[in-house]
Amino acid sequence: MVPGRLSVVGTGIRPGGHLTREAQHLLRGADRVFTVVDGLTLDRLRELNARVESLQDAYAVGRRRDDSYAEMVRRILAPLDEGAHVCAAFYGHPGVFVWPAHEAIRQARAAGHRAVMYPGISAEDCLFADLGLDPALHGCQSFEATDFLLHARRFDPTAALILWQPVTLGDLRRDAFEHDPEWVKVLAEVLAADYPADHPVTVYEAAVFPLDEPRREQVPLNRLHEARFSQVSTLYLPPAAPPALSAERLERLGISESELTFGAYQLHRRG
Amino acid sequence: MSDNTHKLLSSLAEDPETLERFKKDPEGVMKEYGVPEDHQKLILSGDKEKLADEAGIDHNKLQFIII
Repeated sequence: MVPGRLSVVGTGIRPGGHLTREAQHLLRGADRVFTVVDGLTLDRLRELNARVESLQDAYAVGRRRDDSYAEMVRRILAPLDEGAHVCAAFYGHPGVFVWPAHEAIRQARAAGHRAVMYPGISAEDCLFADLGLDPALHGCQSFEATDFLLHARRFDPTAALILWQPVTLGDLRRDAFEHDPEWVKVLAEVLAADYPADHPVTVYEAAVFPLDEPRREQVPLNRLHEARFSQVSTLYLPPAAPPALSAERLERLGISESELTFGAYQLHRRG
Repeated sequence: MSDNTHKLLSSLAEDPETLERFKKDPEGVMKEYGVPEDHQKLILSGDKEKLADEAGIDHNKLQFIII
């Protein structure tokens, strides 16, 4: 068997505008292209390569997402056995919240093919730009919303908190794309143990369509259940307070606070 | 969707300066790109959902990967 080659790329959020030169090069040279993107990006990909196949039809209402993803992986991997160079293009960053991209890489490598992932611009990257958030300033934690709610996570309310895909809250069978406000209420109650009841939560959506502005809707934590979520919504909670210096760690290091030189970003977060 | 409308939308997605120019003078930029009159009306109407639908990026008709 001649080993195949799998290149997994991201197309970013803005159709075409976020497509890296690296991704364009790979897309142009591939024997087959499989993709999950919007229509404008699909047209752009077709300008680069005539052999583009959309994987959107792997989804169906009532079909479990994991079955859809397994089908995507099967279709991406099939031409590799003929020694083809396959390019799989996912919107955003192919390695950020994209199970089938990582799974395709794992399975391709296990079958003896060459498989490489190339980065793209994710929704989180757009969030950093649109909300003016630098993850270095406070630290930044990122969780899948349902996973965060169901597990007893230890997180730090003095750092930024990003909760992805709140639209899945309450989707027990993993086959729907609508949330249950009751689950959002429970999420808000859990968060209220560490944040003020009216702590601002931003419902964020990156601008996809060229004429769109990003969605930056602020909702108090105790009214989060009233917010509307789409598949591309993300929740952002700013820190509740600046972090406290650890006297115990300073002592272990044999230094005092007066000896420290704080960076501009550390002074900024102290207000 | 016409080629010219498509070209305009692609430029707006790829070129922030054209997007800024478009925000200030949408009619002028659409004329420059030769966008057909019915699409010009649609764009000026602000009916983004219909436009996004025509461009194939209507969120309501697309499934996004959610893990």
